[in-house]
Amino acid sequence: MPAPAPLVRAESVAKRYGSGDAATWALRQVSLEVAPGEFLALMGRSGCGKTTLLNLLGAMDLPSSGRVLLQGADTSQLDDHALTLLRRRAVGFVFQAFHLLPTLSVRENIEVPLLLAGLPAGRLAPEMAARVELSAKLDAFPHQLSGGEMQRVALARALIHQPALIVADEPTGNLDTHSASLVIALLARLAREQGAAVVMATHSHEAARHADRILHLQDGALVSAS
Amino acid sequence: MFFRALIWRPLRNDWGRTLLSLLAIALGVAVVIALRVANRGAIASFQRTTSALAGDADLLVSGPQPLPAALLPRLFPLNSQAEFFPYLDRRAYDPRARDTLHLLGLDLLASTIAPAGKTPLPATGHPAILLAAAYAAAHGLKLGDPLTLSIGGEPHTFQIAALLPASPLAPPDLALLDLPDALAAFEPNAPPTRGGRGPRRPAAKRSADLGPWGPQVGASMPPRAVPAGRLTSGTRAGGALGPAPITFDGLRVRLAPGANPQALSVALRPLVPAADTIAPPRARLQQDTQMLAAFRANLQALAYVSLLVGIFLIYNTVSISVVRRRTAIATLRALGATRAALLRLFLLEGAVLSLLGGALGLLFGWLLAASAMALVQRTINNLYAASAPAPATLVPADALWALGLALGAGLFAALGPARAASRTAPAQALRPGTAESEVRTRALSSALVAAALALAAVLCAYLPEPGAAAGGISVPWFGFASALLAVLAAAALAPPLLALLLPRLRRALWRQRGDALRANRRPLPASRRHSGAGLPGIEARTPSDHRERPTQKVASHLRRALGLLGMAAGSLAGALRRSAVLIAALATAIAVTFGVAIMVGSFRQTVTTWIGQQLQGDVFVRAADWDRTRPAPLAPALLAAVAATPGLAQLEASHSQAWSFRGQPTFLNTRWSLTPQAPRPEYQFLQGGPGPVLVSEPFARRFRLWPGDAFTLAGPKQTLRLTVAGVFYDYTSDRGLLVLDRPTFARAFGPPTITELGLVAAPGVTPSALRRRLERRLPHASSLAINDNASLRRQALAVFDQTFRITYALEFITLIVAILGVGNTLLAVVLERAPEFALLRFLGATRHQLGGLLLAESGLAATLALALGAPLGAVLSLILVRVINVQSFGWTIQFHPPYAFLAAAAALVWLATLLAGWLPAQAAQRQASASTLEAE
Repeated sequence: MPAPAPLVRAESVAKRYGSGDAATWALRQVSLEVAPGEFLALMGRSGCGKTTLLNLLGAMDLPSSGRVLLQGADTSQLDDHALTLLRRRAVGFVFQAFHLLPTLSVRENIEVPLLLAGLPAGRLAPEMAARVELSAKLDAFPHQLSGGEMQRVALARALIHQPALIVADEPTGNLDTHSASLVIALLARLAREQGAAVVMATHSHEAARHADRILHLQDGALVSAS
Repeated sequence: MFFRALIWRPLRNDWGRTLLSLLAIALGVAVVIALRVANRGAIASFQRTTSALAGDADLLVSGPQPLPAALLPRLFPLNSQAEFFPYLDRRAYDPRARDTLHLLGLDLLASTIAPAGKTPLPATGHPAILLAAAYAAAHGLKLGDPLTLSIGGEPHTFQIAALLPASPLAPPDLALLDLPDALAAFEPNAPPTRGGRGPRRPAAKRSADLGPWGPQVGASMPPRAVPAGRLTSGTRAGGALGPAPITFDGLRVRLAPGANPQALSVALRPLVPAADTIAPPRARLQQDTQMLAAFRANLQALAYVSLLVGIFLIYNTVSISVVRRRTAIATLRALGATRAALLRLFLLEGAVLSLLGGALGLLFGWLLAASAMALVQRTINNLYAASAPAPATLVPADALWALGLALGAGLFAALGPARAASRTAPAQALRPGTAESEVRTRALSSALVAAALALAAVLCAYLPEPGAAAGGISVPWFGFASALLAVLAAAALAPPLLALLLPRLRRALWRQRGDALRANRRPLPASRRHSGAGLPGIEARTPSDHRERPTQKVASHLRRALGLLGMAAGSLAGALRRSAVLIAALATAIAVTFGVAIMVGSFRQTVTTWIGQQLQGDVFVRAADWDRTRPAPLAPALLAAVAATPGLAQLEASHSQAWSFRGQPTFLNTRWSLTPQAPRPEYQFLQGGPGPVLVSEPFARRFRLWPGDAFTLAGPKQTLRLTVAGVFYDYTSDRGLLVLDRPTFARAFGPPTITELGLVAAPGVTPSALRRRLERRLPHASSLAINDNASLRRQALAVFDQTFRITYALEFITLIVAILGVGNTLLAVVLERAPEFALLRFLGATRHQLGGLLLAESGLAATLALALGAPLGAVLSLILVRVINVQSFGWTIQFHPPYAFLAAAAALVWLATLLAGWLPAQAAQRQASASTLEAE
């Protein structure tokens, strides 16, 4: 049986910020593939290019050279609108700082991706809230939640439109150990249930333990895989 | 250092927003300054008129109607104390230039006038006129030209003998006549005063007595005839006097060295009983100033509304600064900055913004002043008395006033946010939403404050105007206070109302969106799902799913629109403090626009109805130089010509004149029929009914005389004890009108002259046909104003609209200030919420959707402001109509809201506010990027 087509493929991807003498290479010649349903952890020191790589894989940014194929689409060939539609459909994001909209309730925060896509919500938000164990807080606002709870809302928001890829940037970075392990276990389980691939940047070995594969980045280049 | 880091640099970096703030403040200040300069110009124009008349006189003696020359012998005992110079003070119409001249009849021989070195003009037989050089230049006239003026409906030709130089004390529409010539022109019924009956005197050197307006291009006066028995000017009273019918408008009194003006005034009073003013020229100016007090106060109050809206905006700008710099404030507090230091810092921001805005406002004010001056002058000419505009100049006090006003407003507005900044608890400040939750908890107290303010507004509306002595023109301070309190009550009500409304609106929109979703759900086949292990109900999509059916496409758009509106409601609710101030500011501008529009619209409709009832005749005739204060009587020959016009069925005569009642200027009128069944005015009575003594509503309110009340009327012939029979609606003057039947008038004042004629056309003759016949048949028709009913109505409404043009201009500027505020606030929102917009981009929002979100916010803000502003506007219109107007002018206005205008204004404001959100929406689309979120 042939191997399934990769969900994301990065081919000799490089990313430069600035120009001339002030140019800084955040990524250099990175190539990798993420299979559907795979859980990949990116590790490395701060500033090694993890977030830059995540942004490229998640179609939030474009490489300076090389190319990224997401669901077979070359992100460099897409205009801003097409990139947005691709991202909207195929990618869910989880951030270290949660980034919930402070003016929306838990339910509404979870529903935002559906709203932007003009997709129906129905009972999805309560169901997602139940899955992240926040049924009781559906009508609460972000400032009424703990850090762990906020991150679980962010998780529900990232998953509600059933994306093929979840991009998680230090999702446990702002959490205590207990909350962190709860959130990471939830992320792994829900992604597996939905068949979504996860690419997660983390400093935490404990978090990386849930990954199928771990890649190490150093100064913008992949140095090892485990 | 803190100032530079926390205030100056952010202001400089957000220069676009800073500029918008400055512009909003500047416009508010500019309007106040422009009105201040215009009002001063209006006073200056009266001052110039008074100065032109007074010259070097120490006292002016004048009455509401001309003083008989017969009184002059009585002044003989005062010869040692003063010289008395009679004068005529009238207006004349120049039919060629279609302009009006202010004519002063003075004894030009009272002192020598010296047009040195000029050749005497050839005598043409026409009397000499000394004309303002500005007027001559404007109308292409030069020295020696003949000038034909319409006086009392008759043409009179003069020869321009000298041009009066431009002078800050002489109006540009001034013309001087020698007194005998003026008498001959203005008093046609008086015995002939020239034509060889008096000795001809050679031209004399003259200049000194003309004081401020000595001739610029001088020429010797042509020889003139001295009227038989004229009062030789400058002679002591008791000199040769002419026949009794000669009258003057007043006396200029020049005191002898060492004479006491007060003592002379006291001595003059019993000798000149017909005079109501015996005072220095400045007292006459005070009277004029008093007459304009209510009008000026109303305009100034409207101007201050712009500044009030500006205060809201300074509050918002500083509030946004505080919110945006919460982290920096918390850091500074953690590092040891005191509360007082932070308070000072943000007060300083308010001060800097307001001072810069004030300086800019001063410049704008200077630019606006000339236009404001023209509009104000036109209104004063329509409502009070004609006077030539004085130049609008800015003085150093204006600069101080502008900067002081701006600084005061800025500090007052910045106080609230600065206190909030100083009370920031470092730990709390780092948690989002804290500040807004504080606002929510204060909603109840804010509602209570709103209720208290509303109650105070009602109380003020019912308080009588302060210091309104019977007959005096009052400034409705309590009315203004009531309006201000109503605005503040609405502003205080905004936060609790929005706290109540916005979350519900957000939920409702979100729910509606859900309903729209359910109605249009199209389950996807399992094969098209992204993952076989998907969540129940999830409908993941592939690109092919975007080929939706049209109904689904509509539903999809609807879902997005409702969702964006819901998010917009959430955003407004989330930043309640800022939203409340923004919406309150816009609502205030809308309310003032609506309130004034309802007042003006109601007033216009009331006046339209009233004119229809008043104008019973078909055609009206009066002199082209007709002036409300001194209407020229029509010549008897004219009356005969009018009466003989074919097609005339009925004729009514009317006499109007200015009068002083209880020391206050008012007007008198009497009408009588010249043919059987002549048209009678159908007065609409506020109280009482027809009778020999009627008073207008402003008269009744000013002098507190209502039906059944008796009063004493001291006429030159006889003092009468009269009783008011009825009070009728009247909108011609706020000074009040006393209408007497002809016999009563004659007993007090003597036989009335005819100043106006009202004609009814015979059956089959249209009013316009009758007018045309009159124009053809009457001698000197160009010196007459002949109007048919329809054109007079049109003219009256044109004057009405012209009068309120300044009001519309002020409203417009207030709205501009508020809309600038919306743009400014939304621009700040974009900067403040950059991470949120970046997040939405991560979550799949297109750039257009981000722009749409901003537009949804501005649209929602406009809708809420209209919802709050429209009822407040209705309340303000009630205060304007029922309190301020009645107290200022004594007019009852029937409510006739101009619904179409209001709807159009609402739509315009809504669209303009939406447009104000367009630029920020563009900015939001540009700036949202991954790096913004990373930076957070």
